[in-house]
Parts: sequence; structure tokens; C-alpha cells
Amino acid sequence: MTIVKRKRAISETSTTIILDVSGATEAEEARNAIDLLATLQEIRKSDKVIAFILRSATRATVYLRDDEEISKYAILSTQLFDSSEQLLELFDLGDTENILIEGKNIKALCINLGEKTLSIFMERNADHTEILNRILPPTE
Amino acid sequence: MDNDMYALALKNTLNEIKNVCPDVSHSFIFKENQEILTKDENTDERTIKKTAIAFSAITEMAEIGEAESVTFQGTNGRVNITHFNDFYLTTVASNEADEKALTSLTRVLVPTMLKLTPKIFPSQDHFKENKLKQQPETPDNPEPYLPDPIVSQFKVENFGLGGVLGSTIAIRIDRALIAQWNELYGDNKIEEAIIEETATGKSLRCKFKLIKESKYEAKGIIQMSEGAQRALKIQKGAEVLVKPVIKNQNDNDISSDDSEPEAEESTSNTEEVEVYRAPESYLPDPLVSQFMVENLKGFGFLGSPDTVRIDPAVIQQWNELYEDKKIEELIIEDTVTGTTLRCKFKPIKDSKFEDKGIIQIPEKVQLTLQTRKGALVVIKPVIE
Repeated sequence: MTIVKRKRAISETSTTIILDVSGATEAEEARNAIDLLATLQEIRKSDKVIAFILRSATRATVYLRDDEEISKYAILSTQLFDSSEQLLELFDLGDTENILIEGKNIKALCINLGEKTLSIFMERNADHTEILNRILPPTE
Repeated sequence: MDNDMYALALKNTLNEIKNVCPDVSHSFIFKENQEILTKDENTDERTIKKTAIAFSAITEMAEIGEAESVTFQGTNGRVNITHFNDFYLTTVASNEADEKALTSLTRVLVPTMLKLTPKIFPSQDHFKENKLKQQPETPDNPEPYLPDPIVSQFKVENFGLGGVLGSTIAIRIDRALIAQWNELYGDNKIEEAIIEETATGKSLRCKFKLIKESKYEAKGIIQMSEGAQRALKIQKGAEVLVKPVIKNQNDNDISSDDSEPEAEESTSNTEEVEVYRAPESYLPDPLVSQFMVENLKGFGFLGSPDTVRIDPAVIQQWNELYEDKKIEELIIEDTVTGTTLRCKFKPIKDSKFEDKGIIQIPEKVQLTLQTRKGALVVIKPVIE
């Protein structure tokens, strides 16, 4: 699996990001992780998806559509989760499930997957609900 | 623009949001500089400051262009911050809140209020002057509190077919202003308005109707018949002040210039004021309607690819309200981008889309309008 386009250490964030060049999950990781990467592989085929960052405590899997700067997305992703934690605590709304930020040009969907966080950056007219449902299928 | 005016209009808007969505626990608006514009009773200033700080941390580094909206979904509820002009509307709701309804309200109602308020109150100086003129309420006044009558400045535009209306005194004013009056004065009757010429101070009291031609809406215009213009000795292009004559439950006028409500003429401190009454009746206009976009599939040769389909009930409502007026086109506005488009319409054919708040739009039109399936648009009829 080669979903990473380039390798770069990010010094701007407090979390060290080690890009997983092979993109493969470790053997001991649960099947859920494999399924997730497969889903992300599908999602990245959409020309509306610009980038995604799947981050755990020790590593990150990154996809970039074009020659984009990963650092700006990584920093924004971290800040979104930090702000979310602050605000949800302020209003006593529990833990972060997901965050959607919509800008003039693009939007970002950040999802808390427990031990991992996933941030997907996409064009403004992309269907983020569909992407969210593919990552976390709604339970009936 | 005076923040008090915004605050009053917006506080009412926030209350309406809470009325429609009781699961909203907090709502407030702050400015880019973290100044609080308005807030509900449940939220303290410290909470708003913290929210503003947390949000500014994102916007400072937002690499996605200017952040328009951000939603933080938690396990027990969500926080949404939406950016309009220089304002940030924050709503906090539980998971039980109707997300679609809330999104519609926050993305339509508040931007509309923010857009209309400066147009309704273009001259704050006049507002302040007139507030000073108003008589203070007596402390033992048993009547319920009503906000002071709003004074708004408008530019005069002709209406009627020249001399056909003759000496008839008739005026037409912006529907947004009526909506604002209704919002502020609730159940109190507002059937008449006082028009005051800004230079001479001459005023005219008469019943009003709503502007019907969309090109004059939200432009700060008042349409006055020749008779009304003659009464005030003004012409097209003149600037006038408009204020409502509010009647409370006992039918007492409480307009600032009407300390003697039944008087046909009254005198202000500085200028002689002539008061006319015109026996016109008030006709309600429909409010702008909001719909969700649905694709309109079909073949171009079966009909115009630029024609949208709307609910037959809406068409019927328009026909009832505008009676003899021809309505063949409508104006669609995407609530997010603000892009507008004028096009023809037909009733929805597929009964499964009826009464669902849906508008069917061909893909070509969607592209022009910069909208898409699932987006919210507002429509209003073009009255010829």
C-alpha cells in the first residue's frame, strides 16, 4: 500500500509525526485499521479530496493530492482538536466525535477514532457527510 | 451602524431560534475583536470570551481560506460557530436538536437580519435625534413595556400610474421593515406609519402596503403616490423618516409623535406638523420561502432546462396573495454563497417531493447558482 507521497518530519507541531512510507499497518493492529486504510484508499480516489492525515500517538499516514504543504494541514488539524476539547469541556458536551470546518475554498472533516485521529481536507463542494458515513457507518 | 440596533434585532432572532429549537442551550454573537454583540440569558460573558479565544486560535491559522463555519460534535452535543460579515454566531445544542432546522435558522435567519438591519436603519443620526424627541414613559404607566418606535430613513420612489392615482395618499414600504416591526412589537397592531420629511419636518400619517416590485426591496426605498408626495411637498429622491404607529391592546397610539392620538393635526416643538390619514387597507405579503435543493432530471427537449420546479402549494399561495398579478418567474438565492438567479418555474410533478420543502433545480441551473443537491435556497416571486 503506497498512499504516502513524500516523507517529511513536522517540527511545528507538538506531536511528532513519523510518516509511514509503506502505508502498511502493523501485523498486530486490528482488522478495523486495515479496513480504515482501505476506505481511505477509496476516498482518496475522489478528485475532491485534497489531503488526509491519519494520526496515532506515534505515527501518521498522510495523503496529499498535489504538491501541498503538509505542515499547514497538520497544524490546523491539531489546533482543531485542541479547540474542540476546550469548547466541548466548556459546555459540558463530552468528548470530541468529529469536527467540520468550512472555509471559503476548502473544508476539513476531523474524526476522533479513539486512539487515532483522522483529518480529511477536501474541496468545498465535496460531500463530507458521505465521507463521514464511509469512515463511521451510521448505526441503526 | 449602532451596535444597540443590531443587538436588539439579533437578540430577538436568537430568541426565535430557541423557540424553534428548544434543544439549543446557548446562543450568542461575538465580533472578530471578541466583543460581545448579543447573548442569551443562559450564557455568561466569560464563557463567550473563552469561546472567542478558542475560535480565534483556529482562524489565525486557518489554511482553508476564511473560516465560514465550524462545528464541534461531542458525545453529548455540538457547538457551531458560523461567520457572517464581522460577526460570529455560536449555538450550542444537544444531540436531540434538529440539525437541519438549526442549520437553516442559523444560516438564513441571522444572515438575513444582519443584511437587512443596516438597510432598514441607514441613518443612525436620525434615529438618535428621534429617540431624544420621544416622551419618557411615566413611572406609573400600567401599560406593558414596548420598545420605542423605530425610525428608519428611506428614499422616495414613485408608484402608481402617474396621474391615475390622482390625489390618493398611498405608500408602500419594505417587507423587511414590517417584519422588523412585527418582531419588535409582537401582537400590537401596526396599521399606519408616519412619514416625516427630513428637511422641513412635515409629516404624514397613513396606512401602508408592502412594496411588491422586488427591484425595490431591501434598497432603502419607500414608494409614495403623487398625492402623498404632494402632501409632504417632496419629490422622488427625497429622504424621509418612517416610523410605525403602534396600537396597544386598548388601541392607544404610542408613536412618539402622537401624544394626542385622535388628533388630525398636531404640533411638534419646532415645526408645524400636518397629519393626514388615508383609508388604505393592509395586505400581507408572503415571506421569502426556503427550500432544499433536489436534482431535476429529465430531457431538455421536454421542457426548458432553465426551469425549476417548486411546490404547487407555494404557487397557490402566491396566486392567492397577488391575485391579478402575473408571476412567471422567481428569484432563487443560495443561502450560503448569496448567489441569486432569476428563472421560470413550474409545479413539481412528482408527488413524493410535494410538501417536503423541496425545490427541484436542473444541474445546469445548480452550477450557475453555485449550489447543489441538499443545499438550502430561498425563493421569492418576481411580480410583474
